[in-house]
Amino acid sequence: MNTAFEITNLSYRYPGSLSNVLDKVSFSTPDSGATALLGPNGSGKTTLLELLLRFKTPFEGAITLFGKKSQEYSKKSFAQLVSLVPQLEVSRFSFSVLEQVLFGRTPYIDALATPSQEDVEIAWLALKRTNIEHLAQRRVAALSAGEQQLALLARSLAQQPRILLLDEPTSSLDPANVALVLSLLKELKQEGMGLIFSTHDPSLAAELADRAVMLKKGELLFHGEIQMAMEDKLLSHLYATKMRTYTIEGRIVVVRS
Amino acid sequence: MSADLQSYNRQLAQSKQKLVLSIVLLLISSLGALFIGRYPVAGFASPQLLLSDPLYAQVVLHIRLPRVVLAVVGGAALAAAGYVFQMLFANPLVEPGFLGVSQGAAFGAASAMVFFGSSAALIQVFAAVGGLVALFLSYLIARLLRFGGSILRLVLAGIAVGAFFSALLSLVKLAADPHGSLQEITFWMMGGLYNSNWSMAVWVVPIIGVSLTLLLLFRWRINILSLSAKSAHAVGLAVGVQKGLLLLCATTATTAIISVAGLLGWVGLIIPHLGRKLYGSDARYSLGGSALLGALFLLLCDTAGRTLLSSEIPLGVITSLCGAALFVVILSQKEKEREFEHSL
Repeated sequence: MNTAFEITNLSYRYPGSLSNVLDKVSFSTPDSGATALLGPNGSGKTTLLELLLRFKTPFEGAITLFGKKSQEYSKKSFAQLVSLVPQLEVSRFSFSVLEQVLFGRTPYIDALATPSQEDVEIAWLALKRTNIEHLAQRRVAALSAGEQQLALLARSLAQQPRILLLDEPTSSLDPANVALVLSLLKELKQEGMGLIFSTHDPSLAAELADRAVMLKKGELLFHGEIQMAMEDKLLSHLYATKMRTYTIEGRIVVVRS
Repeated sequence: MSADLQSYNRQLAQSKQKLVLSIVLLLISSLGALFIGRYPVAGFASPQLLLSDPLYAQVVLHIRLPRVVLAVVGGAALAAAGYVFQMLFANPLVEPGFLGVSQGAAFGAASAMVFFGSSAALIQVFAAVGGLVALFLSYLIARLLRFGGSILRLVLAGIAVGAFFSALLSLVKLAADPHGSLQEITFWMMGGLYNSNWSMAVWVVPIIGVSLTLLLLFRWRINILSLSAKSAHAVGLAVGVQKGLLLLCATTATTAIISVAGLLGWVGLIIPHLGRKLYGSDARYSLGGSALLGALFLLLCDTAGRTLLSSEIPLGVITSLCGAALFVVILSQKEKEREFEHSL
């Protein structure tokens, strides 16, 4: 297993602000398996994802990706390595599912060019991979939230990345759709794709992740194996409320007590 | 290849056919418009007369032809610019007027009329400069604002700049001679191509041509830029730079036609909706398609305006009447209703 992201002393503050929303955070993620970013609201999870994505520029510290400074990749080659599955967003224009998935091919299309037939076929495979090829011609806005999430996931797969960043991948889904998305993410993990996802739900982290990164008020509280992270005292401290872990049918479940 | 993929490819082929048909229709209409007018008879006059009547040839080549060219090019510019604004702002209810461009251009033109006489060239230059200054001010003020995301800031700045230039325009009107330049300003603001000539067309056509070509070259990226900034960034686009460049192209094209034709309302707002309906949401087809529809729309409006009555109906009045009517029709249709709802 190689190192994908290596984060050293990473700090971020909003322009004009004097306090850091992320303060001297250091950890690394391997190029396969899943890493969960855990923390209460406002702990800096989304900021961290945006820094990894280069959507924000670090105030201090460094991020390397596969041994090379993250900033040194061209926009195109970075987007061929790292993809984002954002929180649910739906275009105001009536794009079809296939059109939206085709957008994921953009890092492989020259600035003034348009998608080739090969791009269309790769997008199609991404639809098949997410089991939504029957929705190809439907308008994205007409889909259920779960289907929309799968369509965003398909867009990211069409991007053929090595690392997938996911911002709260299941937060707006009902249980059946959570199960659908989770089983797909587990498969992708098995196939060797690196996942880094933020979540409010420690049980989800326990189910999907191999490692956890815990943030509290912008500081790194813990990083390491997921089994070590799922511990009552640590979780209670993280969320500033009493948390308990149970093992039910071999799965770790975290609840407020 | 699966049936769905085939049907997608078939759709693309259909969109292409529609584009070709639109081009043919536009060419036929343009040709027809050359021979419709009030000389030598009201209505259609045969092209054969060109050979026997030198005055008719003069009218067709030096009055109607530049006018038809400007209507086609101007309509394409307004519709394409509106389309690009709607995509880049992810809002189906905006057009370049939202950044104060129209008011800036109107103020520029009015100042030229009141303070520097009514030289056509000077009015055009002042209108163009006014429009671009308004765009630039909107951009600068947006950077100062500390409220909302980048797009909201730009729109808010545009509202402020538009109001500012409207107020200045009123001041200029106050200083205008009620029997001279005030009437001229009012008439200019109604919009029209009545004094089109080749010396206008030779600089308007290249400016719009270059701007539209750039927009069309970026047609795939315009799709991506309609997504959230984060999503567009995540597939490898330099979002800020590309949006800036495309907005500049769109505004330049709009300002070029406003500066010679005055304010032509509703074209940039309504035609892109028809374009997306007819050619699909993908900008690869509906950007060019909207430009063609805009060209056809302005050509038809202008030809109607100069032939229906014995005195000319101002073009801006016709585009606004048709635009408002189309707006209601589109709003009352179910499918598109959703597109509007999102933006309100």
